[in-house]
Amino acid sequence: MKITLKDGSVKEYAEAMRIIDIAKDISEGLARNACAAELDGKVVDLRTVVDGEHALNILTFNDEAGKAAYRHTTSHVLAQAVKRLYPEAKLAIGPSIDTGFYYDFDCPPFDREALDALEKEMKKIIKEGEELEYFTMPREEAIKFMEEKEEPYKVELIKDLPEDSVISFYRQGDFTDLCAGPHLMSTKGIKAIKLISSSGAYWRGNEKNKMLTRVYGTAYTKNADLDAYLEHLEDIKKRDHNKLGREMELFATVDVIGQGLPLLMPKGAKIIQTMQRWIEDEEEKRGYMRTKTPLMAKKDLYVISDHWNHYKEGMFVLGDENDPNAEVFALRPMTCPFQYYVYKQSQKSYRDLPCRYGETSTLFRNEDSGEMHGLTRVRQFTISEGHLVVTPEQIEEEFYGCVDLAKYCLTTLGLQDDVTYRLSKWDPNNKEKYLGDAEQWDKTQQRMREILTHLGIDFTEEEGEAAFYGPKLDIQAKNVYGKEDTMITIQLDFALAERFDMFYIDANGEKKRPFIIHRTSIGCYERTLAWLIEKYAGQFPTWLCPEQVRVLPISEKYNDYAQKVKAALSENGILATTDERSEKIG
Amino acid sequence: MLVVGQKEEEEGKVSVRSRYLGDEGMKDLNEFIDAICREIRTKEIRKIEVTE
Ligand SMILES: [Zn+2]
Ligand SMILES: [Zn+2]
Repeated sequence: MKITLKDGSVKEYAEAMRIIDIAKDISEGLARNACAAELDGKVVDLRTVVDGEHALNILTFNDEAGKAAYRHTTSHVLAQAVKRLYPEAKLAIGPSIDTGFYYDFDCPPFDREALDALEKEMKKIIKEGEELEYFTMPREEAIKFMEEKEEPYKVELIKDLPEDSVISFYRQGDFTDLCAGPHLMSTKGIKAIKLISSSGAYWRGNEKNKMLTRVYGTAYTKNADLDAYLEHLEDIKKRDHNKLGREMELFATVDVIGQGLPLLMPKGAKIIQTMQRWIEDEEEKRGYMRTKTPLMAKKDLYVISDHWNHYKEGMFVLGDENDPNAEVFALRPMTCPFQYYVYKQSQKSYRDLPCRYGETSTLFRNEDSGEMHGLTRVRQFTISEGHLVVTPEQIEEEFYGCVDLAKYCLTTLGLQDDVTYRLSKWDPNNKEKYLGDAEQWDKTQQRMREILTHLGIDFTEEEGEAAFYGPKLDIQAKNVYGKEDTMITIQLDFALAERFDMFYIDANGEKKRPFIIHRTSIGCYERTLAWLIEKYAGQFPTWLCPEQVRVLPISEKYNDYAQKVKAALSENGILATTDERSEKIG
Repeated sequence: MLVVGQKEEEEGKVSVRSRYLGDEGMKDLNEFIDAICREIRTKEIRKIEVTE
């Protein structure tokens, strides 16, 4: 047997060996730190027996896949602890994630005290240091095994696998779990652990299923690393816009008004007004024309735009759809069709294009109330929306202009390094969800790819994330918890101009279909405010501060002078207040 | 934050305490206004250099 290691060195052995034994042969230290291995580029368990010629890389906690195996083993330890303290709890799934691991249980929720007790039991299990033992069973036998253990979720998982599957398990002492691995050799390899929180999660992520109890935890090889992570979590909690934004009185929510309908309080409204004025002025400098169009329209408009077909469940519909005599309206989920009618008010020639329309636009989207969150998941929001009507020859330049504007906005807010770019494509296996044919999609996507490459933008590609009328560039940012959201989008639309019969007269006097670019400058203002709160921990750059200067007289005697100073500041457009408390300043 | 007392009033000045630099000492009011207007106009993102 011949093994080529990552550093290029070659090891030869007389007979087949487990990877862990090869690791031991290389060095005891490596074997101690090994979490998993990469065999010919594939992540495998340390128990894997190797024979023949292979490339081998031993993975430790410092490798992503090694870290995942380490934390996944910790999730098994958690499950074992839960089964010891709550024998009635049913096991669902327990993967590793970027920040640690979780495990879902069918059992009542855990409070902090219960989590602490579980953590203690986990430490005990780790100290017991049982070896993890790998074994397999044919599918039928595996189903029986889990039925006998009264683990209905495991039974369901096994039943999802093909008839002829061989099902693998890992056992440590009194605990066995259905699992594909890989895992550490023994629980004693785990060093620093912490259970972070407990929350609800639906079985298989489907709200029609039972709500389970999810426990989040994390694990490190060093206490110092765990402490640093926990400190980071504390910092995150302080920045969380949904907490800090309320404490700073930037926004509030009120039950009687509704979920996802935040009130922007005076300070929050001021910040958003400052941003809106800035964006509107900047768009004007860049040749945008401002429109102000209705917040609702008759159903007929959405039938033409196809929103009625593709997006109806996301809209607030007013009036009884089933009454043939009733006028049915819907609150708008986007501004596109309204601005198309602005365009259509007069015949345009190629000399009128590009037409750049901008609107500070309030939109409504009817999302599930369970999804509502602070300023980022809302049912009503205001967005720097706009549509560019362009000739085919103008696409590159105009698309470039949109990207440039978005980059300018991000840079001005200090957010340019916190975003990633994503080309969102259609899902070719789900064609009925989209307008247009495969050729149009492929061509447009290729065109966007070329533009982005030309702009030197690093981007990823994602299938199934496009709008129903065309592919888009999504500028993505993560919130403090690492959850990704789309902040800005720029979309290339080849479909809707035809649906709305928009045209222009070209140089030869012929009617031609324009392309439409849907875009935002900085996205939706509520979400941007949330992002800024988290970015600056509430300490906004001066130009965005709702209170830029506070004047403090050292005693009542100087109140008049303080007022004079404040007046001079206000006169110069500076947002100033006075603080005339009579106590002395030290 | 601008702190004002007797000395500031007599001389038409303000004592500046900013979250960026901490105690910046006494400044002429007009100079302060010019500086902060520039900071706002250019949308400057200043570094916080003191920890209070
Ligand atoms: Zn597992
Ligand atoms: Zn649009």
